[in-house]
Amino acid sequence: MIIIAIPLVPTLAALIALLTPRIQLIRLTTVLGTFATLVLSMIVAHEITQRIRLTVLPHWIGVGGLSSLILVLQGFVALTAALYSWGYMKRVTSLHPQRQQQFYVNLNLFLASLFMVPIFLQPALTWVAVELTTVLSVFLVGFDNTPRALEAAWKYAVITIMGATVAVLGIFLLLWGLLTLHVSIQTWDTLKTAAPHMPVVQLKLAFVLIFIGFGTKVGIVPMHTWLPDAHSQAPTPVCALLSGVEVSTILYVIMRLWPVFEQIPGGFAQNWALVFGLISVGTAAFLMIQVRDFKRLFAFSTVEQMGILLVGLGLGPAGHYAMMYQLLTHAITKSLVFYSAGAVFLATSTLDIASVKGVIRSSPVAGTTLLFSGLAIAGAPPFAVFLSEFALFRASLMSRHIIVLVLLLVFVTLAFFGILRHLNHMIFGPPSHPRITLPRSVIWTLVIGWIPVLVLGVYLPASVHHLLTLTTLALRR
Amino acid sequence: MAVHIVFNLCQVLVVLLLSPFFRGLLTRIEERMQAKRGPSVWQPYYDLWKLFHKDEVVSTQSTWIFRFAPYIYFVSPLLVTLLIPVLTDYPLFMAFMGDMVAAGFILSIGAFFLSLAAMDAGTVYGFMGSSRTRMVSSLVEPIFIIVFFSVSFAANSTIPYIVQAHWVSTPAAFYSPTHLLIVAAFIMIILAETGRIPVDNPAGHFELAMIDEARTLEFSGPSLALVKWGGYTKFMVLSIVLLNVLVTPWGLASHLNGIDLCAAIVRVGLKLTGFVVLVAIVETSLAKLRLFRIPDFLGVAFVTAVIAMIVQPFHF
Amino acid sequence: MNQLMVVNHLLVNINSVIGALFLLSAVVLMTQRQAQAVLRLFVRQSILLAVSAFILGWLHHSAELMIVGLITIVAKAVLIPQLLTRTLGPDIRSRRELDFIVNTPVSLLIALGMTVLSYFFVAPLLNGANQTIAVNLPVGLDVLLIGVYTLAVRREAVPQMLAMMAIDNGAFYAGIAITTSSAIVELAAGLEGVMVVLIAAILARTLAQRVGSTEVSELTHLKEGERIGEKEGESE
Repeated sequence: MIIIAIPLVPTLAALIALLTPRIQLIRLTTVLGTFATLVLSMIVAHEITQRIRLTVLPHWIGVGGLSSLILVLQGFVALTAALYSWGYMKRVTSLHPQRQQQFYVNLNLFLASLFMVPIFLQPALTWVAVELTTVLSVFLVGFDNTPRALEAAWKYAVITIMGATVAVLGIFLLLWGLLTLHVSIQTWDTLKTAAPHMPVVQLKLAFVLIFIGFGTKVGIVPMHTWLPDAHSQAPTPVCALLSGVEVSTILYVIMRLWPVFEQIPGGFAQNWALVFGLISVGTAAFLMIQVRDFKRLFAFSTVEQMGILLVGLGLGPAGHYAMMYQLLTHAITKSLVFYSAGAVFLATSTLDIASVKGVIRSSPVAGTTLLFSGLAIAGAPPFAVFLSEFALFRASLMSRHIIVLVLLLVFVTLAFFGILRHLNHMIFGPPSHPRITLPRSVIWTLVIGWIPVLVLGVYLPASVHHLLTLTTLALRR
Repeated sequence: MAVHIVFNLCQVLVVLLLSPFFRGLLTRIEERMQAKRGPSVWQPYYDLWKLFHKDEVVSTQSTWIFRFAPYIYFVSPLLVTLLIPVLTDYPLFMAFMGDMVAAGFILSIGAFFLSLAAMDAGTVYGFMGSSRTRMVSSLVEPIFIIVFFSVSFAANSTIPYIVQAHWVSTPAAFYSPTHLLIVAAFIMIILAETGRIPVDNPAGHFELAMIDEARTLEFSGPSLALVKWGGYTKFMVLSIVLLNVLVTPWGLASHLNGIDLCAAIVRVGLKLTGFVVLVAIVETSLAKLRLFRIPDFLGVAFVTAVIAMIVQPFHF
Repeated sequence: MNQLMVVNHLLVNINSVIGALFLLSAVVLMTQRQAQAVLRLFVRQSILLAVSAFILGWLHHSAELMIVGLITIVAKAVLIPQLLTRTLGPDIRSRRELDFIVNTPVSLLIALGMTVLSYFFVAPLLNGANQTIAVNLPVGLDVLLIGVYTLAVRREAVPQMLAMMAIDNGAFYAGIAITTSSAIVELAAGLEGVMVVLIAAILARTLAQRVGSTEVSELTHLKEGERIGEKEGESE
């Protein structure tokens, strides 16, 4: 029953936010609600480490290792985003304070839809949840109401809904396969067992449609055009949610279907993942060098990270553990990076890299956290992403994908220098903006956000390791 | 055998005599739809009668082509009439002398000579009309060919009588997507080839906007009558190919006697009336396209025809 | 009993004809310039989808498909056009695209290529499949692909959105033939269609107010290498 409560809590919070005009109360319920979901999802994850699977409604709702990891990550970023919004939204909406209520209603609904994705056992229902995440986040992306924000929201809506529609045909093809085999239960598991009996062409067609369809929302490169816009124009807490967990949540759907597609002979799916993963990493790395907008820089970093995850998926069983590790570290680090970028935005009121200088002097907190979180997401030791990327390199070496390894190393290094170059310009030098104090909740969010990045950078607790091992079960045939 | 020949000639006569009526009917219906009274249904007959009794003016600069072209243009649809099932669903004397491709070529010979004659007279509008009709025709011809390919894929033949028999052989063949797509493409071709809206405006009197009519500006008297009549028969022949071969292959005479033939004339006449109403609706509800949009329209027809061919192997 | 078979046979055949019309509607939708014409075509296409759903529902004795048909009619043939004309009335009536990014003949050839492609992909699956699947699956995939292409080359907001819904039509046109028990998805999709358009319509309206036009091609500010104005990101 705990599992069902997870998406219900934000729904309730949204209801409260809708009914009461008192903004203080709304903020509090949102923070408390997200805290409750984090606790609930931690409980679920803990249960999973004992019992491997939790099922509420057989064939409808249930959670395994991978789903619980996604839930925990969502819960964590949701909590930090809610906390961050407290002070951040107050400041950015200072001219229209009443718009905050609309923001919180929307945010909570979006969170509810996010939590719904990993708990369903049927691909069809999961698809509906994915559509919901798009529909409910469009207004959050366009919240600023500036032409740029609206443009980003428009692109986001049109392109990702198109992707979801392409994916639905792929799902139909898989369900057709079940139907012809007279399997009436349409869950991930039945698909997995039925896959070898389906025609190869059908699986290939379904794979291509689903990969391209959901890949559009993950931000895989030829279909990524909306991502840097949406992930940079949204208000910062939403950016953190979108970049930190939403893309991984959609990638989760591809992962759940991976055991089905892995059975296509000739490593068809693996090759697609490797090729598109490398293209994504490469393109993002090159584009990161020439961006002019620092939130956009980190949005491209998301494209890069998703590419790395895809490569991990394509490496086969050897890469799966490393990929899950990367998924975890990316979520916590990327959200932190966006909180830092948001702090810099509060301090300077601009997103233009060229016009920001010497942040570390004008706002020591924002400058320091941006510097180190930037280093962390770029993959510098001793932060979490370094370890997970290293694990991935090791996996590609062990599975003898030497070319993949070399390309990946080149691109990741390129991205590292791309990020560093821009950070260097922004953080050091004579300050370009006057001193400003950051809202207290923003500082608290940064503190909370730093804890897992630092801890996981130096050591991996046994329970987390256990959970990560369990998550790879979802990818096994 | 003799009866076959007689019936074959009957077809020609029917087309020759009835075609002005259907043109008149079409004009009348269109005028009515636009809330006007319109000329009498018999007006094309009066026009022809008047023109045949007028003197003809021929430029001294023109060559024999100018004098011969009207005859060729007039005869070519009648030759096609010998090849297609106008009234009977059994093959007549000339049925196997040529297939639908041949019919298309014979029609285009007439159009070709008319274009030559228009240029021969040396006026600006003649050249303009010729070049424009060439543009349309050069786009229509590949579609014609593709339609015939699709038909021959489906029916394993391009002889009109056999194609007609194929569509009625099974309901699945009649209702197949190929059939519908072929019909759609063919209707678009007819509109383009006979100069109807949205490709050309047959009622227009503005020389600069003309396509088909511009070629006839230099003709007068009996020559003009022949050109006009040829245009009427061409429209009727194409409509008959559409109706009797492609869309509604029913209602034709199936016995070798005169009564059945007369009944068939009535039934085909009714079908043609229906089609004329349809064309009138299309013409009144669409606007004429700009000249440079015509390739778009014909492009849709082309794609439709090709899709019909692609789809064919999958549905019988 | 025999009579029922004749009726069923006829329905299968009618379904084939609808398939051809459905495909044709996608091709013509691609070439239309006026927003209103696109909307009209979209409505007709949706009705074709619904009729096909009714026929298949009758043939498979599936109430779900009937519901799908009803939802399609209500949402796509009634609600969405009304919503669009109400929120964006003048824009729908007056706006048209004078120049496409890709000219029409080339687009038509690309549509042709898509048709070849979709039949090529699907052909191996059609061996032994019944006639309704042989019509719906390739046609649906084709309409989906053509829709994606249309979406990519459109510059006006309304046609872009309708192309998006046409993609939806394509996916469901294939879907109703191959799965008969996915009512939940379709139900949700129908409902969501309305929500999607609601959102998109409001967005487009705000867009029109803000940018002064629903021409999406003017939305080219978010690019690499473009300087961001000072204080631009400041919220109001």
